[in-house]
Amino acid sequence: MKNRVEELRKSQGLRQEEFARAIRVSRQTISSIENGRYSPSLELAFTISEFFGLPIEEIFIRERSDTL
Amino acid sequence: MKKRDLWTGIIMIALGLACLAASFLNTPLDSLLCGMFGALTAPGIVLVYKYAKYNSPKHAAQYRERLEQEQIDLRDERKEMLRNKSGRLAYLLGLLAGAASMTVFSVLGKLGAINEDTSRLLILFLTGYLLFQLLAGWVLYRLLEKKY
Repeated sequence: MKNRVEELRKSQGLRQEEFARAIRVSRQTISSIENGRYSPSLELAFTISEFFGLPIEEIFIRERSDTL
Repeated sequence: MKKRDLWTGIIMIALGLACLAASFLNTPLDSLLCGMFGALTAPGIVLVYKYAKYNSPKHAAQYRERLEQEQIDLRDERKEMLRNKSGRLAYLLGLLAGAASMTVFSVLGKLGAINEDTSRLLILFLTGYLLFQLLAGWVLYRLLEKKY
């Protein structure tokens, strides 16, 4: 799942470690989310959206399949 | 670190030294007692060293940060998912290894490379162990399914 986590994090001048510590996850999780290798749970997605003060849909972009 | 960690380390060292002393009594368990000396004393020394190091004011902040990171890593959802996945893969590999071992010991027994009674005993043990693993996996899955 594509997302804007890296863009939003950098806009606030935060390193991955600082952002991870702020939302109580590991730095590796942040890296995996930003690379699209890992999709966060609903709870973590809400935590991230609350941190940036933006709705979830503006941070995580779901690509709908053409077959749906 | 807590005083309990210091006492745990001291007790482990004491028990390790007691095992070492007992190993000089020339019993059939000498090698086991020597092993237990190493297994108890080494971690005991590490625990006492860590207590001394992290209770000094110079390292207190470093220890607090380390504790906090440990708590984060323990509850991190991605790491928990990876632990669960690797646990399941290890379980499946264990089943495969057990089944393969049964075949190997059976063949070795029939070919006379190992004593056939020993081979039978090993196969019996491995069968029981495999069945236990399968049953435990099934029971735990059913319990978790009801809970969640």
